[in-house]
Amino acid sequence: MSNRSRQILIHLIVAALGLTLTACGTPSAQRKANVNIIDPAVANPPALAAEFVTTRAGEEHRHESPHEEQQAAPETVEWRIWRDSRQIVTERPRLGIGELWQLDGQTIIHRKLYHADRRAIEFQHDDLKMLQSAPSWQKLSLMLDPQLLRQLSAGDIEWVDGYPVREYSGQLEGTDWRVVMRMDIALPSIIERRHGEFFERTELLASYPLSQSPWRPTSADAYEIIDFADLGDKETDPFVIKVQAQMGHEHHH
Amino acid sequence: MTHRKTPKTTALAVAMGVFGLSLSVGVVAHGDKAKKPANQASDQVPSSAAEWFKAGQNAVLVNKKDLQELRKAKNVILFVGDGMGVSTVTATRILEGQMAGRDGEFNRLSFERFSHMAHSVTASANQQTSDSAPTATAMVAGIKTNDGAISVDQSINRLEPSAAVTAAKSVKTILERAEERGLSTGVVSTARFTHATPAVNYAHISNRDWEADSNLPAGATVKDIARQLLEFPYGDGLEVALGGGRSYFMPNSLNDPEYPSQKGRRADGRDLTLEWISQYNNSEYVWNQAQFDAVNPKKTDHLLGLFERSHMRYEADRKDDAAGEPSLAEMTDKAIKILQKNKKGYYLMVEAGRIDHAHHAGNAYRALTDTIALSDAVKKARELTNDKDTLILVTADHSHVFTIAGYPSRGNPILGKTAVDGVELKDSLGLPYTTLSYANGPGWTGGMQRKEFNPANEGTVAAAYDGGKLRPDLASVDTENPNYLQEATVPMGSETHAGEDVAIYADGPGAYLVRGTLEQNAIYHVMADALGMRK
Repeated sequence: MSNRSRQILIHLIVAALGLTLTACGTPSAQRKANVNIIDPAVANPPALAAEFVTTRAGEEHRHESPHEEQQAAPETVEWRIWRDSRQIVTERPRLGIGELWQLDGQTIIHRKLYHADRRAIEFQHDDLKMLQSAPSWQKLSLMLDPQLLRQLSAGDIEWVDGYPVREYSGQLEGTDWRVVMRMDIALPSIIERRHGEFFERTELLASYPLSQSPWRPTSADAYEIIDFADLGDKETDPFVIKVQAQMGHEHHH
Repeated sequence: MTHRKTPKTTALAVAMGVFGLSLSVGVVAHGDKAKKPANQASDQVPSSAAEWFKAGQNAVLVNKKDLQELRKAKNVILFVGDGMGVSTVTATRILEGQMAGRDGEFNRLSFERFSHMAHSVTASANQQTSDSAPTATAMVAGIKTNDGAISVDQSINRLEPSAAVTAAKSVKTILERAEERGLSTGVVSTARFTHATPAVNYAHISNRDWEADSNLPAGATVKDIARQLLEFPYGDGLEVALGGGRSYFMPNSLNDPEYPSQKGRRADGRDLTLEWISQYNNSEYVWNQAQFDAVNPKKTDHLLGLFERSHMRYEADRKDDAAGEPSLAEMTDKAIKILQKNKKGYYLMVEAGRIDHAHHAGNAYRALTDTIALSDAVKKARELTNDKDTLILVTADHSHVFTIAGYPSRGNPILGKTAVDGVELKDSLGLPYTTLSYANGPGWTGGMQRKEFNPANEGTVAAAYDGGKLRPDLASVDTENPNYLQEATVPMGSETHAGEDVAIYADGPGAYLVRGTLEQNAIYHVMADALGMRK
């Protein structure tokens, strides 16, 4: 998971890490009426809007790099997600950026949205494949790879604040994972991962049925859309130069 | 049907030596006239010095006449492999051979069998290494211009919004001249039809990015590229327009037929696909394979096919398209069958537009398989045409920083790691490496110095790296995987074009003019000369 789009996806996933039950109020074992339990492995998750906070501490990859001093300090990012069966939008209001994933038939279309610039970069399905970053729709919807959940130890469903949750934990490839899934909405409420001194926690702050969401994603309908395949022909475009610098150096070996 | 000539040491060929032409001209020589001894203008044996002198002069005149006829082409087809540098051709030749179980190094792509070739100098008026707009303009308009310019001269501002200024600085293209003369015309591309290389044929605009009206700056009076296709003022308009870029022809209020969640990009409310059908008789608009297959060339005079919202799929991925897309060879086949109905002849450009994109992404597999698709299209074109009347040119607009390195054994998989007799060679770090790589691009591995996207702050952070050296250990990496990104020396988000010459391959009447090192704009003049367009 070291390429560009996968990193974007990872961020979604990682951002979901550490969801707490803050939005649910005081923990309670009381079972709420009319709550459905959704199996994440076969989920057709409900449409919703949610807000998360992701906190990172430590360095994920410790290198003796001359640029080490530039590496990200511990920080907290709040972000939102809007999800239905055909479209997933994320947005980081403070950074003025977002992502759009759309399912059209069997094709996934992905755009990275730059609200301040009113421009977007679109990745076609083939681009995502080439970048080894073509996620399944289920993975995008759950914000976690179902395969990951299958590899972790799963606890029993418990009722917290009236909602059903299941905790998953374990170590995979040197990373300690702890995931708490809200089983009624097929969404993580906590994702934690620890690797050496690096620790990341994503926590659900609030969630709403999509139709009752207090927030709306920034409209990107009028944005200029640049194909990922065309970036190489826009070598003098300041926006493209900026974005490519942000994308870093991605490679898969 | 192929009509390939065998070189013969005829009197004509000998006589041509007088004009300083190579014997290869004899390969092009054809027809009964070419078989007549040039000095048989009269049956009478000269009986004086004056008669001998006159007979000699006549021989020259006859041959000159024959030669002029050799220059005349009824039809011209220009194939452009976007970004298809010489190293791409070589690697593709090897890959195609190896995929077919043959000796890859001895294999030849279809156009490599053409008898004439030359170098093409791709520098534009203001660039040492060019982008596709000025290079394509050079090929179809006969001039060199600046980066981003679509068939306008180098004096125009890159962001010129005025229609009047743009018109004043426009340069007529060979397609437009062909239409003026009553020939049929067509353009086929796997890129968006409004992308630079196809666009230079029918549009004039200072900025290649102004593909739809929504891309134009406020207050601009110049027409966007897609609109210029529909409002083409020469002849009876293009007969064939096949490619991608459907969204640039559709209004932003209309859902895409293949991807209903997506809409068109036009803000002016015009549906140019409908306008195509309404403004031409016997016209068709198609957007998927089934519709394309159903098009009867005999009954269709104007065909618009737009098979994707943006670029068409890479050849390697085309099979995955739900709606289906024709191959470049299939599009070429259909185009020629429509165009060849015109007894006056035709001009056709066919572009393999995605070789360039795959290289920009640092993915050799897709670049090479799209080049194979181009070779197949050229083969199809040669099969459908007569080399007595149809000039076929195959070239690239520019190269890429793509290299074939190391000392692999003959037969070593071209996408694999460099090996001698199956034993992988090692670099000075003791690590295996691939035969194919890039001088720059996203394939930079950078070892411990590599950075990757940090979504937390839209910056970069150090990337995960398990090794202890400056390159990754490829020992267990499948570099022949279609999605493998070859390594690059200099880290860049997109791999870049390269500035070295590209090749021009030519076959048919006028092909003999393709030799030596030519400026890229000479390609236009070769085609114009072959079609008899002196001015």
